[in-house]
This record gives sequence, C-alpha cells and structure tokens, in this order.
Amino acid sequence: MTKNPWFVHTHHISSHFTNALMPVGFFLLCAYFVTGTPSFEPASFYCFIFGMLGGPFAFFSGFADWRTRFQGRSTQIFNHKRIFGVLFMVTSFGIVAWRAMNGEVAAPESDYRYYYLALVAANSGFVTYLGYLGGKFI
Amino acid sequence: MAIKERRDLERKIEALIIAIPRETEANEFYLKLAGEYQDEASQEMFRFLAEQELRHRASLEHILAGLEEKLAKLPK
Repeated sequence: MTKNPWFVHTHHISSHFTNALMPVGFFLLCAYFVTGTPSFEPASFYCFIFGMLGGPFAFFSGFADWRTRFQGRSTQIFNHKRIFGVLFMVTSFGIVAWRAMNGEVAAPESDYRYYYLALVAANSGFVTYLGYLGGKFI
Repeated sequence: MAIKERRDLERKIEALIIAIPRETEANEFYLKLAGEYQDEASQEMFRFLAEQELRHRASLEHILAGLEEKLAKLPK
C-alpha cells in the first residue's frame, strides 16, 4: 500500500522464513530425541539449512530498513536486533556446518548430541526473541 | 535516580522513533486512497486524513527533539 522500499518487504518475508523454520527444526530434533524415529533428524537438518539461508537476507534487509526509515538511530531495540541477529546467523551456520561434517552428531551414541541440541535450542531462542522484537514494530 | 530518569527518557525516545515512520506510511496510505476515488467527498476526506498524519509526524518530531535535548543534559 505504501511506498516502502524493497528491503522492508524483504525483511518481513525472510524474517518469517527464519522464525518458522528454525523452531520447527528444533521441535523435529526434539521429536527425534524423544521417539528415536530416524526421519525426524534429517527433516530438522533441512529446516536448519533453509533457515540459515534466510538469515542474511533478514539481517541485511533489516539493517537497510533501520538506516533509512529509522535514520540509523541507536536504541535498545535496534541494538538487541543487531546483537541477536549476529548470534542467530553464527549459531545457524554452526548448526548446519556441524551437522554437515558429522551426520551422526545427534545419534543416540554420539557424545555431542546434547551439545548439538543445546546449540539448536539457543538458536531457536535467539530467533524467537528477534521475532518478538520485530512484533513491536507492528 | 539519574539512571532511572535516563532509562525512562530512552524508552520514550525509542517509542517515538518507532512511531514517526508510521505517520509517514499512514500519510502515503491515505494519499493513495484519495487517488483511487473519483468523488470529491472521498478525495477530500482522505486528503484531510493524510494531512492529519503529517501533523502527527511534526508533533512527534517536536516532542522527540525536546526529549533528546533533555537526555543530552542528563549526567552520564
């Protein structure tokens, strides 16, 4: 309706991708831990891949939006969005890289499975908080 | 006390920073609607509403400038 530049729409769209995919991936991984059903684990990995790919689009379009519509003003919300946005991208990359290098990282016999789950849980926490902050602008 | 006052001011400033672009967007929204209607009454109504949004924006910017000035004077 309004003359919002392209990056405002990009931010809204890509943020919804990351906000949906990463927590869904986390729940699928939890389902794998609880039930042991093998198909849940690769399903979570695919969610993490696409969620990670959406991260840079959400971050940089949000940054452009902040620089233009909000004149790059520094407030607590924008500072938190930047910090947690970086944490989200770093942990997303970490999750995907780790799982890509070790396909058995979440397997019951893996020594690292709970560390991996903790990383995924933290990542979902970051993206949920980012979604909560984004909701303050609506 | 100064810390509490600073935080309070920062929260108010943040609210205004978020609100100001909304006024511009509302102005553009009403102007677009004014352009979509052929009848004089509708056009006049939407142009009036668009004008109101610009006034809101000016008011918010004025309040924001006052709060920022007040914040700058507070001891760090």
